[in-house]
Amino acid sequence: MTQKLAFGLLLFTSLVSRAALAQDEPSHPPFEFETPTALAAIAPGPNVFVNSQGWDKASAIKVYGADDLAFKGTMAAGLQAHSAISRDGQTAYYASNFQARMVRGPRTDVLTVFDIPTLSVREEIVLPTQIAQYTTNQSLTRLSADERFLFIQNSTPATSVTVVDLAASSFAVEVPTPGCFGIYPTLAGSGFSTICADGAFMSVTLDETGKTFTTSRGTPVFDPNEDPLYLTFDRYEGDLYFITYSGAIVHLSDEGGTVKLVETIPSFGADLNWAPGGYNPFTINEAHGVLFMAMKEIEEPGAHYHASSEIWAYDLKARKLLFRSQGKGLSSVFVSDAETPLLYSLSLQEDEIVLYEAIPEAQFALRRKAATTGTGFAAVIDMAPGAE
Amino acid sequence: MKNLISQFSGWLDTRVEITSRGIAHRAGRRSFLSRAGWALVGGTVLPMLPFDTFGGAAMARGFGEPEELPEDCEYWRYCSLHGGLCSHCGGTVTQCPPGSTPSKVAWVGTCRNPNDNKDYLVSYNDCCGTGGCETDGCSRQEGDMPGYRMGLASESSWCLANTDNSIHCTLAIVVGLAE
Repeated sequence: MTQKLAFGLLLFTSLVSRAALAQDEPSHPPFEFETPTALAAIAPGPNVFVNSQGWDKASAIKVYGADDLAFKGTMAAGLQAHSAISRDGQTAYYASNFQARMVRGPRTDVLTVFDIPTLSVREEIVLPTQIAQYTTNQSLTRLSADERFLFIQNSTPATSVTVVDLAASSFAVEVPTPGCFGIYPTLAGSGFSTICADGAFMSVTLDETGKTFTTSRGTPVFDPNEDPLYLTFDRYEGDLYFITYSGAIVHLSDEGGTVKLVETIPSFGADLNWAPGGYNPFTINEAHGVLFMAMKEIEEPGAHYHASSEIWAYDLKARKLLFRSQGKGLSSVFVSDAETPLLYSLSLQEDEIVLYEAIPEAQFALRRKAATTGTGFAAVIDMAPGAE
Repeated sequence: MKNLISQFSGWLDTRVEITSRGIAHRAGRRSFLSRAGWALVGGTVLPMLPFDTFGGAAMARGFGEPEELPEDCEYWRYCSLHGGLCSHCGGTVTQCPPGSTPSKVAWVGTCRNPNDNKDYLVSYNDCCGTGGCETDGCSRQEGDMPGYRMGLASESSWCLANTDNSIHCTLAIVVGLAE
């Protein structure tokens, strides 16, 4: 009897449920079938750009929202690519090489010009086959201050700089820079300087056509035998700043057509047995004159590109170490020039980009705000200077 | 320097080993390296490079080296190595795998052989023209400098002067005494 009651109850419940479902069915809208399309543009807002360099696959500039690191898309090109971003954040320049049969065959070097809002190719300019096949660095492809020319580092391994006339969309000239490497554009006009093997800089000034140039050479500003300069640079109050392998800060002026030493600030980490580590391990916030350096405990010789574990904030005016913030596997850092600085770090080890807010009221301690993985072999972070 | 994208995790693993290794660093080494760098950056014609003469054959075995060279990154001749050893890719420490070609130019390190306490020049040639060897690399880079001392720049591809530019793996060739 009990079993019959239970069976009856189950049957009743099932019928009620089916009736309820039958009543719901008419309320479903018809399924709307889909067709493949593409988004026309990336989401608006300021961006941060990461050059994820491919040595056996396509290189790509990865685009992230500057405030939240939302991944917006990529601009892809060939091998060992070097990048530069226009001041208005509308154009990306990507210099790379292509081999006809991927791993062999004739090589073609191309400057691919991208429209950033649509992440689409605007034009391609074929260049002489000599772009440096070198771990990406911010100094290997730079725009002139007037954005009329693009400078690209060459190495065969003899070194030179290719000048691209952006107005004419064509190769302009090759500037021989024997024994020199890195491109540091002048603050105005169409010139650049480059670091040379003896510790001096060579400066190059182009004429209006970009076809002819003059050069000058300063006196040595550092000793490569004792303490080499990283290729990374930044500007503060118009002057050039570099750091050495030991963490010394080298303050230079390129005013007047040659690069001169203003002063060398001794390493603020040496006494603590700390030194910089990474591919682009320092950056300066213009608004506050605070230099941020990725730092690690000193290891064996040869560890200058190895990952750092902290980011140190240093007041360039007061000559004072302000704060040591924790990081993980740091290989590059980049800070905005704003009053409330946003600092970005890359980690090869963690395969990620991290966004921090630097807090002026707290000695520029870093507060982690966001992170996104999937950056790949990335060592260069860039923002459009006009968008910072 | 080979397959960077696939190697950086290996390099980072290697960092742990590097911190515990005990190979001596001498003040004299850096001054030699600077001279080697000058020789390279001053010569813009490839045949002038001192590393273009070995013809793909190993020219020396440092005193006390075994017939089969160790592959541990801590081994003395890898003091400035930055890449994956070709012995992991079908070749040997001194010979490229079949189907690939030694780079015509290379960066050079100066490494102390603990067996005879002498410094040797080690040429780190890449093997070029093929791909597909996934192997961990070493990233010791002792004496490395940026491209303004190009002969010491381990961050450059060294297949750049070959007809086929792709990088497959890296050799460690002892080419002479540093003295």
